[in-house]
Amino acid sequence: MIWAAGAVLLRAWLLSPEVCPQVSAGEAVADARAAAAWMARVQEPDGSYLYEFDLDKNEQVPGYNAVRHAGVTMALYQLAAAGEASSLPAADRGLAWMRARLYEHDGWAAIRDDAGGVETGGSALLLAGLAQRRLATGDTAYDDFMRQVGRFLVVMQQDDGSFLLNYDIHAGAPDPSERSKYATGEAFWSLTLMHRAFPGEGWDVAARRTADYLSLRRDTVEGQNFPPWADQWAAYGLAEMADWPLDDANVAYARALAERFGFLVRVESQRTDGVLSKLFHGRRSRGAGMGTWSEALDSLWRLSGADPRLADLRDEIGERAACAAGMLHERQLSAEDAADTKNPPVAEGAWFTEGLTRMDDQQHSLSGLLRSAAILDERKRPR
Amino acid sequence: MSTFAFLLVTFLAAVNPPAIALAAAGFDGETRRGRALAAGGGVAVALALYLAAALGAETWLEALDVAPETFRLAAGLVMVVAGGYAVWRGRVAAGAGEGGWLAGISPLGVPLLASPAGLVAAISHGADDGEGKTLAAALVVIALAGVLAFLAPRRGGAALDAAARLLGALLIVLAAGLAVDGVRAV
Repeated sequence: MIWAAGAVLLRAWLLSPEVCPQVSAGEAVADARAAAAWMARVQEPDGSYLYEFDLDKNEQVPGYNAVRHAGVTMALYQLAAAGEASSLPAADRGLAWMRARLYEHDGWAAIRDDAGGVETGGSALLLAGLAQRRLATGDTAYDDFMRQVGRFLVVMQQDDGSFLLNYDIHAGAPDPSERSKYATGEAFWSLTLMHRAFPGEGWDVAARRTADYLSLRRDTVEGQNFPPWADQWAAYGLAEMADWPLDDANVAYARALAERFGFLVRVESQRTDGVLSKLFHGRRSRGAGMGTWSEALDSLWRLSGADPRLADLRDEIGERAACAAGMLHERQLSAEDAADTKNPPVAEGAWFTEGLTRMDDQQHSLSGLLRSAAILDERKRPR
Repeated sequence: MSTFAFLLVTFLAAVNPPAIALAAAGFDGETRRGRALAAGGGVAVALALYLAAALGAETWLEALDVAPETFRLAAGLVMVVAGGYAVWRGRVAAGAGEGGWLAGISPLGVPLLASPAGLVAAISHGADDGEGKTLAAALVVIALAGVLAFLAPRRGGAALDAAARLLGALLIVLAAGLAVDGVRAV
């Protein structure tokens, strides 16, 4: 009797079915396009986007965030770089919003947030977006501007490779009191993209310093209780460095990241909207969370194809990435789903959790689905 | 340590032959023939179940709809509980039986030889390390445990008790490793 009860408990908890809905590469790209259409639809004339929306109350949730704005714009440029030029106008409007908020000093440039502060993350994602724009269009008009933003990132970098969160305008120096676990990864990826755009200018030196910090010291220095910190930006950067190549510590870190993101996807695939599932597994993750896992796994899958030291993980990473894409596909509101809501234009193409969506839900999900298309394509081919 | 040697150690800890010998020694009214029937029946039942668990590992996981990595975590938990019980009580979780062939089916076959810890280990390692190796390792340990159950020594209980507890502790260590591996796997 005790064993039977234990078996039932185990089935409800650790051994719940892992459900990975099927999605094709074409469907994943279509989902990404729908997310981009959402961004364009909710964009204001000044280039800002709808920040957060409560579908149950049919009202906006107040607030805005320059870092997330830069992230959404970067995702639109990623889609353009993948061949969807239709996302460029909205992305360029988003870029104009950021260029209207620049703080320029001593040869560098950074975005100011609404409170007037200068934060590293927003500028890092602005730079990543500009790099994607350059890939999409071949337009070199912003090259000097990219270098200006890149120089700001180097100003914010500490000797150990980490990045400080804020620049103190009044003091005329980076604020040494606070690091950012997000900005370090964001800046790292941007610097690797700078090296791709401008090889020979030395951006790789700064990027390598951060790669070593992330690989060897970050979790200890920043007190991560369950390392490694699930940092999809780091995965992007490592994938960009694949042919530099990575050193052994970077490879070990990439492996640890794959394990972390794979676990997160496995746990999420056991979650449903049912009461019992919420009791045993917690509520489903929001689109932004799943999107970041998808982005990370997509990047690590690319890396595992380029670096033989990670080749043994390629199939498993691909399987988890496909699972994450399938869940994102299933949970995005289609036009038909949206028609039954209080606000179909805001609902269509978005991911809602407990009735809420925020613009980064669409950002990360778009990026994840878009980049997973290559994996889904490869996995359907006979081997 | 080779995979096969590791599997042998795992099944030794999961099946815990000294604890089974202690349990078999507690069967009532045993004759030599009765003990032979019980041991033979128990080994036959356990053999069938380990065959199904190890050779059908992937089928079981597909039926459950879980990845092998996820199953490792659950298997680790089951093994921790079994190991903890063995450390605490010095034997496996089953009461004394009547002896004879019926005792061979239960408790000797299930849940002593074919224990929850042994069966989940067979499924998990069958999926991860190969069905043949896993089954072979399980069979060696079942045979050893069957012989000990037949001999059911009336003396040396303290040594068996100590060995059972030590194997329980070993099972906890192996289970923790398996569970951590389940968390850390992609």
